[in-house]
Amino acid sequence: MSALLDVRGLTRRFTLPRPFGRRTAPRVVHAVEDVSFEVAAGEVLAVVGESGCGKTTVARVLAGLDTATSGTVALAGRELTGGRTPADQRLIQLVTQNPRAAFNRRRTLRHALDQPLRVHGLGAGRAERDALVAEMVERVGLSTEHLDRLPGELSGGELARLVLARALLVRPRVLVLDEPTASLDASVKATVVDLLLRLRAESDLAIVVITHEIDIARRLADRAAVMYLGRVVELGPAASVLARPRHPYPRLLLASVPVPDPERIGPASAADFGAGAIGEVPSALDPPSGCAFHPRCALATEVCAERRPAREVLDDVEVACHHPG
Amino acid sequence: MADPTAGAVPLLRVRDLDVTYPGPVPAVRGVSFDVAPGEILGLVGESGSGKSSVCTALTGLLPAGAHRRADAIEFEGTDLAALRERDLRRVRGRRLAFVPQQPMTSLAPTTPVVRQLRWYLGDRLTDVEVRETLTGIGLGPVLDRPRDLPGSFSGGQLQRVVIAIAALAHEPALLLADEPTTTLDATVQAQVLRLLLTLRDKLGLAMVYVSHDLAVVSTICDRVGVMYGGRLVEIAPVRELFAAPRHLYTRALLAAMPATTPADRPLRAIEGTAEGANLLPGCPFAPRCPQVLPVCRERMPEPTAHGPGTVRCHLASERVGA
Repeated sequence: MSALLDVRGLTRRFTLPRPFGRRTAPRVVHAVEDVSFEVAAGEVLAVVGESGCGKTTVARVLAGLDTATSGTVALAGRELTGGRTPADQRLIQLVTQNPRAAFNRRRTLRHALDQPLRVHGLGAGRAERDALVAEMVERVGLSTEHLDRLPGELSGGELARLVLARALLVRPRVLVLDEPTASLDASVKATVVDLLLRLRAESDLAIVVITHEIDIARRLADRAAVMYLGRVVELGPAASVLARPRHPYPRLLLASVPVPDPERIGPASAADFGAGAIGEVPSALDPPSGCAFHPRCALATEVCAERRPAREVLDDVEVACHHPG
Repeated sequence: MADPTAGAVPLLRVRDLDVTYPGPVPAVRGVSFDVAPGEILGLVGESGSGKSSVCTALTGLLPAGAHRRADAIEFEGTDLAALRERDLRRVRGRRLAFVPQQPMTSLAPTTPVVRQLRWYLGDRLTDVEVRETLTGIGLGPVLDRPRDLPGSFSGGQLQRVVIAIAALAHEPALLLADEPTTTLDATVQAQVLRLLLTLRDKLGLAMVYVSHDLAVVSTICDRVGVMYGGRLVEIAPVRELFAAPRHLYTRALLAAMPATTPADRPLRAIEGTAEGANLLPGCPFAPRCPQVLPVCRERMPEPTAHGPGTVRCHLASERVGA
């Protein structure tokens, strides 16, 4: 098998606590349903979708912070089970959304970056660990002076780079980034995007980027998966999926994201958004029958409400739709 | 600042606005701009640049301890800065409407949404008119759930309810919108933007649209003001701003955007941080500016007209076509 990370039929359902005193059937949130994808070494997969589509749950299951209801996560042909050993835990590292919330505010960054090395027993002694930390800090474009400061003394962009440095220190095979740029200002986003592109070029990491920012995904990803209500509706090369999608949902999503296209800049009228969305993402508690997108879909027919479309290969992409464009 | 809408009488005329909160750091310094009737003015900037403070200062709703000073805040010929709170209330909400960022906290949490709509719209519109209007903006389903509290609606629905109340409860001439779509998903954001533009077309509303999202601003605004370190550094019609940015900060900001940079070229991030920019005596962008001159650190450049726009940069005139 060529793929480094192989995810098959991943499903995660959350059972809600029964309301007090009611004898109703327990309610189930279908957060992730039958998600499958592969990521090769040196490849970036973007997972794109709106809030509530299950993309963060995918990230948590990949990193071993949550256990799948069913389905498997395999790394280099070996299945990683839910309760992971520390050695397995090290192989898939998760970088969470807000870098400000990712560090202990009362300890220096040297402490923060030393911790994972100690936990995983990497680096023979203090001196060797310090050298590893210093090397990594320079690799993400910062200097060792930053290490003696507290998180509050650094900017959002510097912290974002240090979160990455901390994840990379334990030499993972897979990096999972959950909204790496969502909380950053426009001028700082570029720093993180360029750093990720450089890291990809100089290592053979498999990277999964979870994001709702289409322009960031276009920039970073080799391949892209679009999720809607827990399922992957389209998967394929980013150049196809994020430019000329075949499924109506990614089409709607792309049409909804304003892009400062030099041709289209300028005062719009309401009609420019007219072809856009109807309704909102329904609840994952009670997903619509058949294709979950059919109540919002302009192309929906009877079959869409009755039968869930299977994933089919169309040219270079896989699409789950009865009426792909 | 030179009047960019020379000839027409501006709806809103702000001159030399300062806002300070307790502490040494001023939030807004010497901001001047006009809004013409029916115009959408975007205000963009990074966090801490003062764009939301401008918006709040215009409503007179700054928190206790904050201080506002201005040479003029003229709205429909009245100087809002000189009005007492009691008189300001006749303007705010009636002629000057405000849409905040968080729709969840803008409605009463324990009263059904439909009843709140009747509170605000009932005086002016009949039930039939309310239904027609709300159905037209995709809010029909809200009226079909007369007992439901705000908590059981989605953020996108509530934000549209708040916008509908702000725009329809009275006859505002100007709508101040502070990051109205920041908390919303892309497909819902498109619906809210469509609603705002529909209201502008139907009611002739002018708008001040505060956002950090350059992409949104580029598609809905007529003119855009760029803020940095509490200063308005550049203001220009949207096409000019994106085609020929004059201020070095605007240029750097556009160069850092993924969508405007070809895929095979790296993005150009702006070195350094905006921290401390609000305290600088000269141009707030000077510490990060790639072409900084000694004068930039000493003196804030005066506003200079360049074509239809106005820029505050010592280098703006030399760099034309650079």
